[in-house]
Amino acid sequence: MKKLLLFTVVFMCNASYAQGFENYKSALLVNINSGYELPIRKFMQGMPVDGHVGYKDNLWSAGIAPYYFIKKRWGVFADFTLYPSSGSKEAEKNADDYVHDFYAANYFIDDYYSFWGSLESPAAIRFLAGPVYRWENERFLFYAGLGFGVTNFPTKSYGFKLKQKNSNLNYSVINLNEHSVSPFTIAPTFTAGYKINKRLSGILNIKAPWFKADFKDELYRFNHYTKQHVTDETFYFKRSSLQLNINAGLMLIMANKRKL
Amino acid sequence: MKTTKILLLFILYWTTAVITSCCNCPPVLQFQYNFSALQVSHINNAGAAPTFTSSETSIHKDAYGIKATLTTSVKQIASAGGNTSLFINAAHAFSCECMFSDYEAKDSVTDIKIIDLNKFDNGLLPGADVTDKFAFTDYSYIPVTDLKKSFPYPNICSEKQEDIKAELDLFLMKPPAVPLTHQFKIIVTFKNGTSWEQTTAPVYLF
Repeated sequence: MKKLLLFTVVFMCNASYAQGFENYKSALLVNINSGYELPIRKFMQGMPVDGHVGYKDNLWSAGIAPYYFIKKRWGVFADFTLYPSSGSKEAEKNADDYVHDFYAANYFIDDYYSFWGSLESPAAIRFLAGPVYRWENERFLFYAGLGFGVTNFPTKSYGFKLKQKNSNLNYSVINLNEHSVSPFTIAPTFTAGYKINKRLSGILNIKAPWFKADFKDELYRFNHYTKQHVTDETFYFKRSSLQLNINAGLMLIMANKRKL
Repeated sequence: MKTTKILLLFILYWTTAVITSCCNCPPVLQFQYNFSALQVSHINNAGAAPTFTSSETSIHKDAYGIKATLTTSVKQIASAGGNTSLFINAAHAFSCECMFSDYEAKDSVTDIKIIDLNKFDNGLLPGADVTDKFAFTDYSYIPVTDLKKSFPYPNICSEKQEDIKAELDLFLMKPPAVPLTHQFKIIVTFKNGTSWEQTTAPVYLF
């Protein structure tokens, strides 16, 4: 049985290889892929402010990338990648512990009224676009590109109710500034593919997106009696991230040059 | 066109049925109450949650307060018709929650005063009015001098007559500069001219 299976596979490979497919004829292609992102330079560094950020270093991703070849070898591509589970519970807990420790000496924290807001968008999104160069033979394709764009991820709101020790004063530490940040991103991409038939290729796609976030977050304390507020601490979120995004997927030829 | 009309009639009938079925509430029991007694105690707000005592005590001056409890005597005055009609004016008309009862004070509160029977500080001698030193509730901090405008008249939703009371947590927000023993008299005056007054046990504010 094993011999029969091996024979079938070898025969089919040889048979399909013998057919060969046209090179450089495709003009519009779409690459659908899914994979995993491995951190080379970690974005989340275990700091208190990390809990405020809807991003994780190790993320599953799914993406779609159309390619359009203007010339035989040169073209442009756009790449949309979705990271469906953004935000880290561990980072949120670290941030929560930090706030508790920060105020513990002088205040009681009423956990009943404290909250970490849910993320407005439960996903991080990356968009890249740029030039792409290709090499093809009858069986394989190799694409190399350089993408420029943004990585968009949401930030969380949070709130804590404080009561000052030995005092009638109550405070709220609150940040309702729920928003998203979109740092500029640059990513070299490399795609290697095996032509399965004249329209479809199986591909392995590797990207190395780099971005640098630059925003600040404040522990903003509001006094309910005086109606005044003070900023107790400012966190500057200035960090860069370098990831290795490895994906597998399919490349589909949507249109060939002569048909455009 | 005919189909549209039939559909509209069906939707109208269905909507009416849903609303009326949700609003099939029993008659609202209407009660009236008189404030019948005033009780006072000290609030020690130094910890995470306030503690209360009616005895002589010492409390941090920044964490002091007075709890004033106005108890009531309640009597039923009416039983309004059931809320079964469509588009009734009650707030609960479009929900499935019924308003079982409505409590109303016979006489509204017209004034609340806090007098310190001892010397409050160097500028305020025994018997001085210290009402403006206190604020109501922990988050909104309504000055006690303004409390008559937004007095928290008790009202509950219950299918039978209940004893209700008004509880006022009055926190000392402008404490005296020096540690002294104080004794506060609370006077609550009503629209009909009557008033209730009660004095706290002595408290040393340090």
